[in-house]
Amino acid sequence: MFKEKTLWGLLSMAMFVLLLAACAPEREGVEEATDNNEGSEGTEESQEQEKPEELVVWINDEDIAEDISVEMFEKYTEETGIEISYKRVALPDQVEELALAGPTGDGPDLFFQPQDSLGDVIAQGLALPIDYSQEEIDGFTEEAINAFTYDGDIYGAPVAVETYFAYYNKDIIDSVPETIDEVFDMSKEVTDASNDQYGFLVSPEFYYLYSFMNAYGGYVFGEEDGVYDPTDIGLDNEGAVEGLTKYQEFISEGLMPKTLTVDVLDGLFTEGKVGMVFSGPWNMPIYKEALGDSVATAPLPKMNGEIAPSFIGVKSWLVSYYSDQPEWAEDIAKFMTNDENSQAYFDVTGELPPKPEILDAVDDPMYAGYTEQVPQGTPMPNIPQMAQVWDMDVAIELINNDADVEEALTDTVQNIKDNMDVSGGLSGEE
Amino acid sequence: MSPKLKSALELTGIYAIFAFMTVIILYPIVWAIGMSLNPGQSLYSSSIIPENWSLEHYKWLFTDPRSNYVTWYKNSMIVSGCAALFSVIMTSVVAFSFSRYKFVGRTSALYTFLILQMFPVMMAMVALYIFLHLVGLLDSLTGLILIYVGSQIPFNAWLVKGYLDTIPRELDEAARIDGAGHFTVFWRIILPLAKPILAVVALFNFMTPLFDFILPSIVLNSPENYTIALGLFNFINDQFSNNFTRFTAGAILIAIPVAVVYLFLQRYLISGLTAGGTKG
Amino acid sequence: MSQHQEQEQLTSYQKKMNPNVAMVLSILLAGLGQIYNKRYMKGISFMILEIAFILATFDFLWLGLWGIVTLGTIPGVDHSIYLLVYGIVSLILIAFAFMLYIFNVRDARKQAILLNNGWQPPTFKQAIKNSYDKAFPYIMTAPGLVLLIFTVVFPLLFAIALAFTNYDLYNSPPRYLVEWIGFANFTDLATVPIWQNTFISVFGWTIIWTVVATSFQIVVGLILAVLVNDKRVKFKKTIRTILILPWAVPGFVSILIFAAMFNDEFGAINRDIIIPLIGGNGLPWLTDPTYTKMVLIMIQTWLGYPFVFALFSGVLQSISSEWYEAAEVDGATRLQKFKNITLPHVLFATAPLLIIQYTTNFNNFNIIYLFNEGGPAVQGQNAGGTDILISWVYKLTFDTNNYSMAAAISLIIGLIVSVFAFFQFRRTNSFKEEGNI
Repeated sequence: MFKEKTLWGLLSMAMFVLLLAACAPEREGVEEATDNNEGSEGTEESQEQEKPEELVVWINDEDIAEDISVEMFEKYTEETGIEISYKRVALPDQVEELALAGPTGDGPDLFFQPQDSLGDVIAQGLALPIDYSQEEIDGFTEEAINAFTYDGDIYGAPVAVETYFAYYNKDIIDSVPETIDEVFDMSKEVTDASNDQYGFLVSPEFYYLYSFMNAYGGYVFGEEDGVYDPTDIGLDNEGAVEGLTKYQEFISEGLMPKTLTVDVLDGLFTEGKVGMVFSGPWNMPIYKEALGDSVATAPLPKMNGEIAPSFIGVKSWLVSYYSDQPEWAEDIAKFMTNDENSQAYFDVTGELPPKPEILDAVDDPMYAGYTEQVPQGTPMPNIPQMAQVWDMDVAIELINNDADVEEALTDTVQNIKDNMDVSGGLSGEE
Repeated sequence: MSPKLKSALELTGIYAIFAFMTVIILYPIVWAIGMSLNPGQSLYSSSIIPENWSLEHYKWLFTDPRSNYVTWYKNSMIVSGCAALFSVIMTSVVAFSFSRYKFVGRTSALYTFLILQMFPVMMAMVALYIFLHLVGLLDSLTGLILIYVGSQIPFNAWLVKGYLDTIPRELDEAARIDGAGHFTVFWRIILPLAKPILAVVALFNFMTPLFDFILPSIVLNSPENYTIALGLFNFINDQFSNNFTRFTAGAILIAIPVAVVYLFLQRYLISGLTAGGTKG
Repeated sequence: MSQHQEQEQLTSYQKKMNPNVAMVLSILLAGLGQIYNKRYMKGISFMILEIAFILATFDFLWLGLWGIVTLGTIPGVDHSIYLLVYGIVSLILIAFAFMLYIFNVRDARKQAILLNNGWQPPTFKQAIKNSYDKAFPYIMTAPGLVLLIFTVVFPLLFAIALAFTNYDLYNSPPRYLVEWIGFANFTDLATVPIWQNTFISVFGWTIIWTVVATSFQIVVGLILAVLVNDKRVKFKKTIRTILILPWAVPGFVSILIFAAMFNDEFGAINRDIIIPLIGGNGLPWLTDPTYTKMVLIMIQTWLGYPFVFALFSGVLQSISSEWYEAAEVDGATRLQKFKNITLPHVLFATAPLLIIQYTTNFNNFNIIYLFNEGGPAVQGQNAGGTDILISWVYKLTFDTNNYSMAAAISLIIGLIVSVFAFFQFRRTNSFKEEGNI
């Protein structure tokens, strides 16, 4: 009796499930409930979208970003009559929050990201491509456009190009050491660790130390015709080992503390206790305020005979997949990256826009290091597998703690490959 | 050795331990206060009490137009206050039923929920987000309060039930004979007697929302709705610009009133907790 | 119809009530059975309830159920995670409705039987009063239960469901759909070497962490409570106030402050204490896993002992002094008194709360993550050297978007903790006593 009951129960359950699976025409209900696809469908249906009353933009969580953005928003409102409401969201949180808030309609029309997270954005399908004419494309540097090109589509309106270069304190060193060996000698002379006095500091992060690896032939992903191959990682090859061995000498000679953080590095440099550091444009106003005319910039020192390459990052506006007015979102993105506004952005933030004309016109000596370094850089790969590559920080932590460089790199790269594999990054996406 | 000397020695030893503990307890706190007076942004620049100390960070919190500190403070007070109040109501009612009535699920329900709550559900915050959107409470303090009130029930109801079990049943039976209804018994007899444990519940549920930054970071979107823990955490959560000194200043301003309340309620805390937690 | 007439009529019909008919009718539509039993008011209200429920929720339920079965069929249009949530909410609503329905069916049958046995149905007023008495505890607990279901059970169901899907960065809506994949996550965890190694090493440290840190907390709390309770100690109130202070400082603030203090090169601990006193270059608090583990345990003791201290202080005060006097008469030493009177009293009385201390520490995310983000790094695993299971799950969820694996590991954590807690609770008196009252 009981068994029979269970059997009937199971049977009717199975029937119900089948019924459910078969009855997809409920789609209209789905659309209403998820309330998210008007944007994408709208684009297909009507080319000319009606002017919206308001656009939502997420800007970076920084005072300076707010200042400049508000200025541009006001101009845009004046020109078009569209109100802009903005919200400060820290860059690293924007993708995650967009994935969460987009479908409910609480997301932005436009958001802001560096290109190394583009892979994440694309993998989840959170951004819409931007429609650029050839003329518009020519207005940007090639690297900037490439950085935001994925499968042939351009996904961002480039705002600024970022890289790190050398800052030095003229009170401590009179001339810039040209090669890394000179840096080493200078460092030996100047460093007095017990008094927090250092010749040269670089934050022990993969982002900065990639210079050492890349200079000698290490690379992140193999590349062919602009397409990255995530199965080919060159971060444990001979060149990478050689580069980081050079770096490790600084640590083992006691010329750099083992647990440095950017925080400490900035603190020490602004207190005038360090001869030379690697850092980016975001610190220019801070360093200048603290050290005045004593601070100057230069490209990275030569390694393996040439100016060491650095990671180039491009920050861009991206149009949200969930935007109800993607065309207008695109419009304001283009507006904020036009020549006039790019110049304004540079004037306020000191970050260089990826526009050849503006780059050429910069003559402030403070920017010497920045502008000279940019052409030497290699763009950060923009495929989603890049997320796992940041685990290289693990290898660097180990190397800082006197591990064998080759062993640390081989192990970590193997780990990164395993991680890519288990997270589905190597199994082909589509 | 005479017993008197031995006793004196022992006592000295005991006081020495207390002195040692005091140092361990106060050292980080003093250090944090010193940090908040440090004019720079960086953690590591100077000695415990900086030479050129200033109140600049405190001033910033209250006067800078970009600072939402006062709003966050207010939000936190609303959330914590409401969470405490509704938790006390909800919990005492549930505990009363569990302590005095027989009904389906009475014997194991509380323990079942206590145990279910031990499953970590961090990745399910996404689900709570979607659910709050569904019922229209996303990015609202109400939604946040409801989650806090709901999730505290198992532990606190268990605590209060333990306490109520120690109140003699003769009391409510006598009242019933005098014609008191269910609610009168609860309101007139049980609640007044349960004050100490309810104070504990109120305190716990005032503190939890005050110090939590994970849930608000999922549920609250707009900076003007942030609670203080979330706002403070954002000071130090930035990749390139940590603002630790400002963070400590803001944290100290919230820690002081909390510490005062704790110390005042200490008596209740100890007696209530003991009676509630030990008879569960 | 006057009451008198109604009752008369009922009496004349009462022999004809068939309990099975009442039952079947009330299954067909809630309230029908009640109407058959001539309980019109009740019947109609049940009926209205059911129809209202169906009308109000049908579309949503259908969408939810369809969603949870298929997880969507058109990428970009269907958002699998939203559908999954709708599905779970639907299931919960259906469960609520089902419970009421069962009540309705049983009620119809029971009343029909009672009527057959010559039972006089009470007047309307009386009926309300009766059901109020009977339902009082349900009414009182219902709001709490509903809140609980949505804040505790609902997220748990979602986590369980996720563990059986392939939701990760490369299978994320809106671009792709999420799919049901059965036990694949669990088998991966057991067979893929990197998952397996990491899981085993993280699990081992989690256990050590839980046992050592919590026991320290309890021992320190106990010692201090006993010392303060000593009759000879003066200024008890002030001492208690100071000792309880770490509890009153927001935990995440204390942890971040400790993290700064323990920085190897620039922290106050190495600079102001270790180097001046011992010399050398200070200890590698944040870069050597062993040291980091020691520091974590010390900090957790600092954070956690005040709770235990407060608890024990209360219990100690409540131990009747007669026990001790009797022991003194028998010539017991102080150690004997402590071992045979104090300790059993304290531990026995507080056992459930102490168990909760252990389970809380097992999942103590804040301290591990905020202190050193689970670091320092260790070769050969994809979690940091001091990561416990919960902080590892956090990293999987928020750093690498590997939601489904994070959910699978969470389930395993939950099972371990709850089985432990269940048996411990059973060993304490709590369960037994409850039945007797």
